[in-house]
Order: sequence, then structure tokens, then C-alpha cells
Amino acid sequence: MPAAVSVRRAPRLAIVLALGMIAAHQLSAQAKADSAVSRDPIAAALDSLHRDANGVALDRAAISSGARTIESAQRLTGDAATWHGPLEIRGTVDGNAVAIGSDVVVLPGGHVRGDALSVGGQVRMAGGTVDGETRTISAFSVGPIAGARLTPAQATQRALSLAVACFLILVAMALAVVIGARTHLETIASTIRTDFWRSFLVGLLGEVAAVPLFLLSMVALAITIVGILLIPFAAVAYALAVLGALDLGFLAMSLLAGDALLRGEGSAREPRPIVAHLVAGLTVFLVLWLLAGGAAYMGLAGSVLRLLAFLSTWIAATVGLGATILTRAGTRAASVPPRAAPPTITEEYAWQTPTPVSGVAAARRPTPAPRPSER
Amino acid sequence: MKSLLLVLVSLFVFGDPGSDARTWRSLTASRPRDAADSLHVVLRYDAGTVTLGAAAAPLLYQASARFDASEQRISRSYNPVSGTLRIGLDSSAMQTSGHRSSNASGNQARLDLGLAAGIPLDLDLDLGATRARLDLSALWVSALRVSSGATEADLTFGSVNPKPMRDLFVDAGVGSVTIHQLGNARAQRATVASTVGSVDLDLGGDWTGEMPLTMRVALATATLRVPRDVGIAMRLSKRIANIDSDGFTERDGVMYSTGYEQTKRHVTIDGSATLASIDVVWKD
Repeated sequence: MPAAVSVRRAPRLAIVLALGMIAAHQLSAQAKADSAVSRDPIAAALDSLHRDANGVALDRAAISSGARTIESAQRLTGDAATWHGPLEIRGTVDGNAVAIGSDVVVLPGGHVRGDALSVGGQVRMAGGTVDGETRTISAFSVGPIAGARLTPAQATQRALSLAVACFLILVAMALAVVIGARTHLETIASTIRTDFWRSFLVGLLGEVAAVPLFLLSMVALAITIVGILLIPFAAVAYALAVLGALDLGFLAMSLLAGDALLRGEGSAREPRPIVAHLVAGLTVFLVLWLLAGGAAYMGLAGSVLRLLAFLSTWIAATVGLGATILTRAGTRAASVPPRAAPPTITEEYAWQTPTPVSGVAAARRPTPAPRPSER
Repeated sequence: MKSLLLVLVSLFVFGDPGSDARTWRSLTASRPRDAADSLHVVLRYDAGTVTLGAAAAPLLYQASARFDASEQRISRSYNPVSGTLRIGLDSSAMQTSGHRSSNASGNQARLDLGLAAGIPLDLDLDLGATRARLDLSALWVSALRVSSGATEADLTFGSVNPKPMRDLFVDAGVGSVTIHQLGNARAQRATVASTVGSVDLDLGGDWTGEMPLTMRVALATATLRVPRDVGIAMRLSKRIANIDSDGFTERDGVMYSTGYEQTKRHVTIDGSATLASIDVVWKD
């Protein structure tokens, strides 16, 4: 009994461990990004502006903190930029005029030969001229300083919720299949168990042929006028059939995975609790995708986990699809090719050699029926 | 099992950080016209609302945009040598980070673009799933190409184009397009296409002589609003198409409106209609 309990708790424990590991990693990554911005905000701002299509490439030396004025007699070669202070231009700036966190004010006599850009402020034309573009951006939109991208923690949260959403949908589908098509599911699962590689190959062929088959059928329908009208319905029906086959097959594979996971419990009760086994099988895939989603920022290890999750799911879906095709969606058992049978003893001499196959009854020599005259 | 499901459902319900991560930005950009004598505009906009109209007098263009920086990128560049302005909103830019633009972001994104009046404009507009209000009144449009996906587009030629438009091409895609006073465009060649969409064409406006119009509609509906003093000659190849032909007479495969010979303005429509419906509405 303790062994059974530990098996039951295994998926829960795996999920808790995975979430804990992911949370720790994401928190440290987030802290790293935040500290980079707080350590040198000007560098982060310059990097953002440089990478932004609406920004500008600025040299660090061009930036001065606080308010700055380009006097009327002054001519500045290159860019003029301020960090959290207004930039007033009465003279000439040959390059760009940029104010980060404040306004650019072009006063009478002021002339900017390049662009005038304000991040978080305004560009005010107060009698001067700007040869290039006058531009304002409400805030940084690129890089860590923007805070625009999903943080690693948020991206992870999204990946996890996506995996859970898929899991819940599949559980709902599994319940529907158990209620309405349990025997079909069992037939498909049985086919996978007995003929795994054949199912895989057929599934692979099915995946490869799905699109050409769809196109061919659409072309065939398009040949006739009546067929043209049926194209939208046929397209939807085809998509539903393919998705349904994939789903049924995947659930059958999940059932087998659940059987393997809960073998100890299942053998005790007959018939086995199929819903619990299905959910357990689906949980195996869920755990894989939770790990993969949480490891998005773990470099090579994350990539390996994602690849592993993808391959596992793909193989399961392919094998399931193949078995679904072989059994015509579980409506008939797959026709297994006859294996080379051991040579059998002909009936004529079977009586001579009692074996476990023919049984001891064969030890009696068959005698012809007595003639009526002999009776 | 129950507690496990409860944990998973909670993770799913509270797990989507999309709304928290949405980060709205605004951008304004304008450039003085200076010596520019023409402008080629390439606009690519795939989600939200886009408007186009005339810019304030000394400006070559002015743009005002609102976008979600977490999911979208606004791009803008001007090449003074070729006189080309490229501007657009790209919602696919962030897909590498593992998520796509949400509908909420797409619906609330906006671009208002103003263009200089008085210089020839060559407009190349590629619209995705947007609402587009294109008011080309007061603009000198030398060529216009609108290609849309699932756009609800509204084009208005409120005033006469100073010079005839070289080419006008509108592909409604699977969306709907309404064109007001198409006659004011003075298009030398006009093509309107729609697949699984709808087209509403108002052929009014201040124009004289002949207006050639090519229509290609499939699985779509088209409504032509025609002034009563305009004669129509329609030569469409039809496949299971319903064309409202009341008041039309057919001669040599061409359908002529009543009194075609007496009218001074003529619209010649050719093209194709497959599984489509074309209605002609006469207006006073």
C-alpha cells in the first residue's frame, strides 16, 4: 500500500518540484535584468534608443545631466542630448537634439540640422527650425529599460498556463471519449500495444499525406460546379476529422502511459479505472511541458527539455494517429499480418503424436463409421 | 487528484500575465516639406485602427501612433533621396519571444497619418486586420494600391484629384471596402477586387467622359451606386453570379443600362464575378 500511495503522489510531487525550480530561476533572471538598468540607467537608455527604429544612435559623451542650453552664438558639431533636463536651443546643432525625460525647445534663431527627439516629453517649436524629423516617444519601448517585453517570470507563467490549458482541454476530451467511445479508445490502445512500430509508420505516412490529400480533394471538388459549393464544408470536415483522429490517438497513447504508471493499482481492480489512468497519462505529458515551459531561459538545458517534450508529444500523436487509421477510429481491430506459424501436424496423423496442442484426445485413432450391415 | 486539479485550474486562471505586461506607448513624428516634390508612402499595418488624411500645411507628413510595446513594433523611416516614407505597425515582431499579439492589443492600436497636400502621392497600403478610414480629400493621389486582409476599409475621395490618377487598385480580401465618390479620383485605370468580402462603390463625383472599371469578385457581394446621368456598359464573365440586370439590355455580350447612348458620362465595367452578387443602385 505505501508503494501505491507514493506512485499516486509522484505527478503532484513532480509538478511542485518543477514549479519551485522554475520560480527560483526566473526570480534570479529578473533581478539580474533589473540590476543592469539600475546600475547604469543612461547606458540602458542609450542602448534602447540605439535599438529602437524610432530612436537615435547617441554617443555617451553627447549627454549631459540636467538642463542645457545651446546659446545663440554657439554652433555645436554633433549631437546635443540631456538626461532629465530640458534642452533649449538658441544656436545651431549640426546633429540631433535629444532630451530624455524632458522637453526639447527650439527657440527663435535655434536651428537643428538633424532630428529633434524627446523621450517622455515634448518637442516644442518656439520660433526655431528643425531640418529633420520632429519626434516624441512617450517612453522607451525596447530593451530592459522599457519593461515592455514580458519578464522571464511572466513569460514562464504564460508558458505554464498554456500547458495547463491544453491539459485541461484534453482531460475534458478524455471524459467525452470515455463516455461516448470507450471501446474505440480501448481498441486503438490495444493496437498500439500489439503493433507499436506499424502504428508509428502509418501515423507518419498519415501526417505526410494529410496536406497533399487535402489539396487533392479540394481540387477534385473544384472540378465540378456542385463540388465548388461543397469546398468550405469539406475543408472544415477534413480538418475536424484529422484533429479528431489525432486527439483520439493521443488519448489512447495517454491511456497506455497511465496504465504503465499505475500498473500496480490497476491490476488490483478489474476493470481498471480508465479515467484515472487517462488523466495520469496526460499528466506525464503535462509535466514534460511544464518543465519545458519553465526552462525557457535556461539556455541549452531549456532547449533540450523543449525538444524532449516536443518529441515525446509528437511520437505519441503519430503512433496514436497510426493506430487510429489502422483501426478505422477504433471501429475494427487492426489486421495483423500473419506470422510464420510452426509446421502443424496434419489431421491424418495427429492421433499418433499426442501433444499439448492436439491434446490427448488425438491418441485415439479415428475409426470410420460402421456400415449399416455391420450394426 | 482533486487538489492537483485545483492547483492546475488556479494556475490556468491566474496564469495569463498578458494584461499586466501590456505596455502602451505613443509616438508622434513630423517632417517639414522643404523641397520635396513628391512622396511615395509604403504603409504596412496589421492590427488596430488606421486613418489617413491631409497634414498641416508646412509638413510633408505627420504621424501619431499608439501601440503596445510588449507585442508590437512601430517602424518609420524616410528616405529623402527617393522621397519614400515607410511606416507601419508590426505585431509579428515579438513572436520570437514566444507569444503573439493579442486581440486586445490589436484592437486598441492606432495610427493617424497625415500627408502633404499639393504634391503627388504614390500610396501603397497593405492592411491586415484593421479598421481603415482613408480620407483622400484634398490630397493629390497619383497612384493608389490598397491590399487588405480582413479590413473594414472606408475610402473617400471628397474632392477632385488635381490630376488624373495613374492607377487605382483596391483588393478587399475577405474584408469590406466602401469607396465614396470614386469619380473624383479620375482614375485612368481602376481595379476593385474582393474574395469572400463585400464592396460598396459609389461612382459619384465630379468627373466627365469615360471611367474604366475592372471588378473581380468571388464569393462576395458588390454594390454599385451610380448617378442617374451615368451610362453603364458591363461585360463580366459570370459563374453562378447574380447580377441585378433590371433596366439593362444585352447586345453582343455587353449589358447596357437604359439610355446609355444618351448619357454623357459612361462607366465601362469588365472583369469577372464568381459565386457573387452584384447590385446596381441608381442615385439622384
